[in-house]
Amino acid sequence: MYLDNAATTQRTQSVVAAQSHFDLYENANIHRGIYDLSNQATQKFENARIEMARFLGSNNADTVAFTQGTTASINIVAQSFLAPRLQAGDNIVTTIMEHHANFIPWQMLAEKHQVELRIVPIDKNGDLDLVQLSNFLDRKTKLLAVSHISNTLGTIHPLDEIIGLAKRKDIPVLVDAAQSACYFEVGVDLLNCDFLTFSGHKMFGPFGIGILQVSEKYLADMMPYNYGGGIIKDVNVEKTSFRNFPHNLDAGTPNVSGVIGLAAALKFITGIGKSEMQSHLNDLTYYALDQLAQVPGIEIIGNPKKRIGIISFNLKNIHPHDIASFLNKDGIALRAGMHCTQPLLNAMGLHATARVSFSIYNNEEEINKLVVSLKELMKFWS
Amino acid sequence: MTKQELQQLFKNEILPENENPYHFQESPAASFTIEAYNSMCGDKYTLYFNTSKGQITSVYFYGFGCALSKASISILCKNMEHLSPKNITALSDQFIYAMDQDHPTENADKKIQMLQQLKHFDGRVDCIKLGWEAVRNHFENTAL
Repeated sequence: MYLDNAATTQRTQSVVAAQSHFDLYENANIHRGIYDLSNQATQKFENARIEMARFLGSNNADTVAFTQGTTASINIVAQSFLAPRLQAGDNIVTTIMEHHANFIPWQMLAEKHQVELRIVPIDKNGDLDLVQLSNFLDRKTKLLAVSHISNTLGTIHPLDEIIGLAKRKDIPVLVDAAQSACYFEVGVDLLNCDFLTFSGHKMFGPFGIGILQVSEKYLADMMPYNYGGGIIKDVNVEKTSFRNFPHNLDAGTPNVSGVIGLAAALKFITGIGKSEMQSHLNDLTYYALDQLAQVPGIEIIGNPKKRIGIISFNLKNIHPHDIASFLNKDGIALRAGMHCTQPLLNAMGLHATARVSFSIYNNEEEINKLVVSLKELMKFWS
Repeated sequence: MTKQELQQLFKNEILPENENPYHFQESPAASFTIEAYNSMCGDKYTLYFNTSKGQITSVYFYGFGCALSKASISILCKNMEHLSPKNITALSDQFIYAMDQDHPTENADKKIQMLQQLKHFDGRVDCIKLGWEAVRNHFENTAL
């Protein structure tokens, strides 16, 4: 019983088959060969970029870069886009709710460039303080970085409103869609943001492949951040000139089979339909909240206005690690710890939580089993 | 480890130690402190050492963590009292070696033996070693 989907989802057979077929029968390096095998691999790779752009509601495949994952995508924006334009006195705005991947890169930049990192707090329910967010945004703000869905509380942030606040001041916005790209309609055009980041492995795809989509407005501002073959226009002893985004990021050989696998994952998601999946996840989340409330000594962490797919909780006097060890013996896989959101947990006065997170293959029967196990554990512990 | 074995272990060994830990209180007047922190999970304890004439006279600890880390540090604190830094380094070295290796390591203390038998406890060895590693790292580099 797998309830750790916020960490990674299980891969579909179609993803595994697509990757394995490529590895066994179609493997060749891309953009370099003159022979058929390489040309076919290149075509598949670039077709996947077009499919990803469509998935994100865009007909411009040049807005889409393949990266190693959400963390890599965010770090690319930090180094490639933001670092060169920071000046002393500027500020970067992010939130206390972020995964470390969408927090530390900004913290490091702020420290290095002596700019201010402004961190939007949350209220007691686990919703962002939008008044404070609005106050933080000013003419010195060089980026607003915010997640779509909290990986610890499951809070769905009101992106329309948040992005609107930034756009009114012409501030670039990065959205970490790691927890939402699988289930929500996202894209830089759809959301009106400038940078969209997510990982393949949280949407039934392979490890080690992710997406950075950049709005057309900032495409020309995306500079190479690491150097090597594959990204150049011209190399001379005196000087090197580079291709444009997204081709200026892929120094070295990209993860071609990962891209092929991710394309298969997109097909799988589109086949079921995001609204269908979202609806299932929503039903399951609220069913779980109702059922978990019946466990003696349970504290559900946060009560945000909108949430989906992820529930953090604690049991009285039982550390989350001990919960996870005991539930493991009942065949239940859940997460325990800080979930890479230490600033959030500190702000909420928590050391750790247990976390369940769902996907389309989970069902109510599994939640019933979870509740039985938790009740049994509480009885044993007391 | 089966579920029944896990329940027996916690019922007979871990929970009693967890519920009645040895010297579980802050000791602001201590001679020095060591922090045991696992940044992956958030478990965090401070170990308070009182010393006299080159010997550890008493050890207290306080903080937050799982039943295993708390029980393990409780056992550690009790065993460190009246030892020299050299002997504490040897004790913690021996314990960590026993947790990391397949070969059994003798130890006279029954509770330490019990902890060492948990070396294959899936995903929890770091909880058990937390305090021991902090103490070893400290005394390897610092005299009293």
